[in-house]
Amino acid sequence: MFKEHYDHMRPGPTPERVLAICRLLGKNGLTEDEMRDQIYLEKTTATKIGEEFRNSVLAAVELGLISLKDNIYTLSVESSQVATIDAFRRIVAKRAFANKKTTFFRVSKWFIGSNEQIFSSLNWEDKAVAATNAGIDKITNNDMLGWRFWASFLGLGYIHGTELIPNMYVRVRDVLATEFTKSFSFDEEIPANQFFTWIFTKIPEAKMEDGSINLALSSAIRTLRDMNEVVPLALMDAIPMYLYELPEDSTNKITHIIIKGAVCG
Amino acid sequence: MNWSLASTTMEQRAIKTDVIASEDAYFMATHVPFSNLEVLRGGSQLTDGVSQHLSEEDVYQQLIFNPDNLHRMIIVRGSNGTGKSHLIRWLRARFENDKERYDSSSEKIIFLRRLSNTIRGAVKQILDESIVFDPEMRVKLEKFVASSHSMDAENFRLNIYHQFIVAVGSDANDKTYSKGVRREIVGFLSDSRVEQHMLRIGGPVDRCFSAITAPSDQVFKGESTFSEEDFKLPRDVKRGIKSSGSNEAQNILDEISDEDYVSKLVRYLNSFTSKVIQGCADISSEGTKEIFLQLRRELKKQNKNLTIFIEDFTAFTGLDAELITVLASEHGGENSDLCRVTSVIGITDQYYKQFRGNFTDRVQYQIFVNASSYGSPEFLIEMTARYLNAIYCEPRQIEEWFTCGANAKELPISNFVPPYTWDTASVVGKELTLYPFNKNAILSLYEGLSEDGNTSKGYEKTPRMFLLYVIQEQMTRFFDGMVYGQWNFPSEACIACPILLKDAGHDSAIDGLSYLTEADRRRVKVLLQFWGNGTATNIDNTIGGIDPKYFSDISLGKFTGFGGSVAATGNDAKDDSLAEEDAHEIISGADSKQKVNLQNRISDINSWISSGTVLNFSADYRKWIRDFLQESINWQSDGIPAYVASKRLNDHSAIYIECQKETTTKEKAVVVLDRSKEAKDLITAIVYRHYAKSWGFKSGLYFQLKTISWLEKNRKQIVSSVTQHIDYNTQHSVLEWCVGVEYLQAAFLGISIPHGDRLTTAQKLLEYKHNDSKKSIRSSGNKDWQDAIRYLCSQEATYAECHEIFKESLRTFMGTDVSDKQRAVGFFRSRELLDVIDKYETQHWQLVPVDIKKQDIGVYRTASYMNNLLGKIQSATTGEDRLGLAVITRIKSHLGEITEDNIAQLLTSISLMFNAFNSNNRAVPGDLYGIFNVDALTKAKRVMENYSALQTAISEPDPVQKLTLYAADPIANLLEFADALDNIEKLATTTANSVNKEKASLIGGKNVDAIVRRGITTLKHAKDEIDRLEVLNNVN
Repeated sequence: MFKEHYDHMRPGPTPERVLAICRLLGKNGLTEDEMRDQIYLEKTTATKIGEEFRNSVLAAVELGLISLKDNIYTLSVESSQVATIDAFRRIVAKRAFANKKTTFFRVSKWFIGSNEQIFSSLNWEDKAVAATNAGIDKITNNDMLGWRFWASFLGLGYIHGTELIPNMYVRVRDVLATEFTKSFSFDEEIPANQFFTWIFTKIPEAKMEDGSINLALSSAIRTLRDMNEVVPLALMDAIPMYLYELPEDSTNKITHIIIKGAVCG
Repeated sequence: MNWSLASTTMEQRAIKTDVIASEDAYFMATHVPFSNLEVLRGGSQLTDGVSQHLSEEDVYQQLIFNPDNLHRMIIVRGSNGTGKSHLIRWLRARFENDKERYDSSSEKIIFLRRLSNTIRGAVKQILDESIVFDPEMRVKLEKFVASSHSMDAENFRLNIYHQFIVAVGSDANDKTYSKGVRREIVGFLSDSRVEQHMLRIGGPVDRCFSAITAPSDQVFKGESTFSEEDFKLPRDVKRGIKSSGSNEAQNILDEISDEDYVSKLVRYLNSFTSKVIQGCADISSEGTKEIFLQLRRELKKQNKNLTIFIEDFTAFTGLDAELITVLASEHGGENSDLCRVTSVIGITDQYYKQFRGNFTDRVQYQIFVNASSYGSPEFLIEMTARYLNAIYCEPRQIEEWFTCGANAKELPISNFVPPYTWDTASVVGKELTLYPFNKNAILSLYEGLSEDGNTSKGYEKTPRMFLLYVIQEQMTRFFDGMVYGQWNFPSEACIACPILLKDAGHDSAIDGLSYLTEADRRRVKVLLQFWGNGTATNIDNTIGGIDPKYFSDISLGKFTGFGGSVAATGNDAKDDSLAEEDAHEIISGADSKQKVNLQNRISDINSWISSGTVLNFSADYRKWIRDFLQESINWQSDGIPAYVASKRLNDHSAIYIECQKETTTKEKAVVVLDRSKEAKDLITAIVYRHYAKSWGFKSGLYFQLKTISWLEKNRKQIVSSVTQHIDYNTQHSVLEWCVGVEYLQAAFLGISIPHGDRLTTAQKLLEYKHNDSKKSIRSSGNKDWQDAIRYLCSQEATYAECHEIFKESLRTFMGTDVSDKQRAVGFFRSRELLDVIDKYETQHWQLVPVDIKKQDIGVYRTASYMNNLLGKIQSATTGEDRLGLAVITRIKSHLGEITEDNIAQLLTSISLMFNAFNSNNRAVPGDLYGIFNVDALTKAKRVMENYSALQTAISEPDPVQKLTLYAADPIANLLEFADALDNIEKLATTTANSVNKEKASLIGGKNVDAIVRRGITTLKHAKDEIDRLEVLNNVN
């Protein structure tokens, strides 16, 4: 799921299942058999044990969330990092987007860079073809089905039907809530170019080669504005940055931005 | 430009309320030639006969100019406001100014205009044209005109009413009503109460009076004097007639409850309108005819012919039949004393149909003025350009032009042009500005008029309505802005269709512009919708296709439109023509039916937000919003089982929209959408997306943003409402409720839930508590317990649902389609279940009722069922306590203190007794033997265990724990023991009595066997032992 080179992104290991594996190991280490026994709790009926278990374990290992030693799986992160959904999402995002060579990262970057062209592909199969045509390995329909769960979970967009609405509100908000104060302060005007330079280091999948601000990131900024969590400004005689143009919207040009503490709420 | 002067010119000269009354100079300056008039021979109503299409000049040349002196009656037909009057007026002017053909010495032209649309006006015209030669008649008509003007209004009205009564009374025709009924009608109308009702303001008499005297822009038709409404009498009038009215009045009163009867009566009374008006003028039908006959005779004597133009025949109510008769009489033959007459009569289609008996055989030509005559874009644009030009020209210019013969080619042109490029119209080879309209505005505002005038803004698509309610209305507002700075231009007052930009995104975005007032936002929308291209796109130095300077002109300079390009979409992303496409192209690719469905829904939403109407398609919106929420919120990732979300959102009451069509409970809703811009945007977005089957529709990016922002603003509330759990980062309570239900269900059914190893407990809880288990439910003398069991059995379906929720909410899903069993695998979020078990174990399964508000919805039924079970436990265990105490008392009555020693001692005695029975061949009942034929110590221990368990149960304060203790059924074993003791006692007593009797019969007997004697002795000992035990009990 999160490996380099050619990697199938199967739909089986969903974030929910990987989290279930991690939480199971929250108190003590377990062998694979013990884990399986505890995950497949129903004993009175014929239990169907599918590949989703094995793949979920593998995904958790690939993300460095759990590790195997002497046939015992143990949690590799703090138990607090799998205690809440927010904490889990943030630690996973950090790891999932850390390696730019993984299929997952490349498909994510392709999706974000597609902007509104993504709507040309009406179903996941079309999107797989489009991604393949963009030069990302050989992406299948099944890969896209697996990718969408994680892309949506990590905050790249919102699933609706066979589409993922590109809006990185959740992803950007996570970064602002956890990383922002390490470099800036809340409630202060920051030049837009500085802000975006910084955010591209934190959200590498959103950085476009041509330096443009893509639709998903632009929509995130606008939604953060609508949520009253950021204030985009367009001041005179300052270096402007241009969001993905939305003619009906008032925020297209930004020279400064204020991030509010509310983003942590 | 002197806007004030232009405003005055429009009001006083160019456009008057009675357009026909406008000055000749302005009439000529604004007249647009009719180029396509349908002409039909004969007077048949049918218009599908052989017709030819002529220009107005052709009509003049071929029909009006009449060198052969042929008798001609020409009617000009069309609906109100189509331009009949214009055509007639032009034909008259054309003839009068035709220096080559018109010779006033041989042709008399009479032009009867429609003045004020009153009968008085019509009669005055007749007088003014000097066509009444009989002095006596002239005096009468003059008196009528003067009297209707000055006579005491009250008397005039009374006169009208009495004329109707007289007309009915003198009617000798039995065709409609018999003489008797006519008499009754007279009696009814003569009733003072009825008279007062009919004379009321707004009543039939008032209508007739107004038609004669009061200027109006509505043509009076005699048929509208009385109406059905007039015979809906007030209750007091009816009561009065019933109590003291004449028999005739009472008879009619009985009849008028029948609608058909009233319709017939109304038609009958209205047929007298002409007669009544003539009666008011004190002229007879013959006298009226004589006016026109005299005219024709007089002209004949002068060797002249007559061409008469009547603008609107309907204004001649009262005189119409006579006028037609005279004009239809062909000259020559027996009418050789009459001059030739060419009559051109304007008449509405409706009037013609009602009056056709008088026309059909007399009319030579019908000219139809209909949409094909005036509805072309060229006609409308030229008409607008001419009026605007006439308004902008100085009056002196128009008057001079008219005085000099009104040569069309020399029409003066205003020198006003806006300081930027603006639409013009080419008229007689000159360019006339259309400012402040443009071609788009003219055509779309015309389209914006109602087709049939049946809407609330019922302005029909006719030139007159266009002139009055579009050009005049808009120009009035425009002048108010230009002169007084009060901007309400463009106005939407005359627009029947919804104000909605075809670019729905721009439409919504304008609503959100806080720097414009609400009124200005509406003005911008009207401008963009009707003047522009339906978008607000700022591109190529235009805003929605309109020059930005124009916005400044009308005080909307702040508005600068949106962006440099319209958000492109999907496959059409690179299609430059997209912005020009029809509004329906928002969902390019959908079939026409889908587009109609979409349009209907958009209109529905628009009407809901702007007019407060009910949402007709709310069922669709609610379903589509629910689907969106189900998919777009990553429920599992938010810690909410997909099953739980699905269950809750699929509840009928989950989505509530203000003024929705369906009846659901607002308080039970997950999402409540009040009538607001935000809600409108959301619903609009979801509707467009549904029909586009993608978010890639035009303006989709904008609506995505609006929708996601709405979602995030409301996300916590939605999640919290679905789960009723404030902190969605922690475990949702449904699992706790489910575990509670399983635990209680098991306890009731006597199924043991193991404690200690959490995994085993979890597995046991997950097992379905099968119906078979009910077989093992112990019976109890405790009524409350039985009630509880009965409740349990009746709630099989509820439990099954709870169990499903339990399992499914623990199961991991791919996606949100929880109905897809293919995706259901046994992969559980086990830690959450184990944690709940941990929690309950820690608190010793002391379950407490849950405080929930939404008991009947989805997963909340789990909590509700758990609460119900807890309620049943309380009463059932209280009953068990009572039962347990009673059993203890019973055992103590045999045993004294319940101790292991006492029990063992008693059991030993019973054993001895059984031995005695055996040795004396006395039978011991098998069940008793089975119960007590055990090792005394073992039995004593078992009884003590149950006794101890029962004591623990009774003393346990927690009802759930108590239930668990009772589920092991200690009472049943003790009850069996108590019953057995009772039976032993009974057996001993019975046997003792029997022995005593036998003893009595044997004492003194000769054949007393030594063995029997021995037996009696033994039994006596046994009885003594039993007696001793009883004494012991009593002591204790």
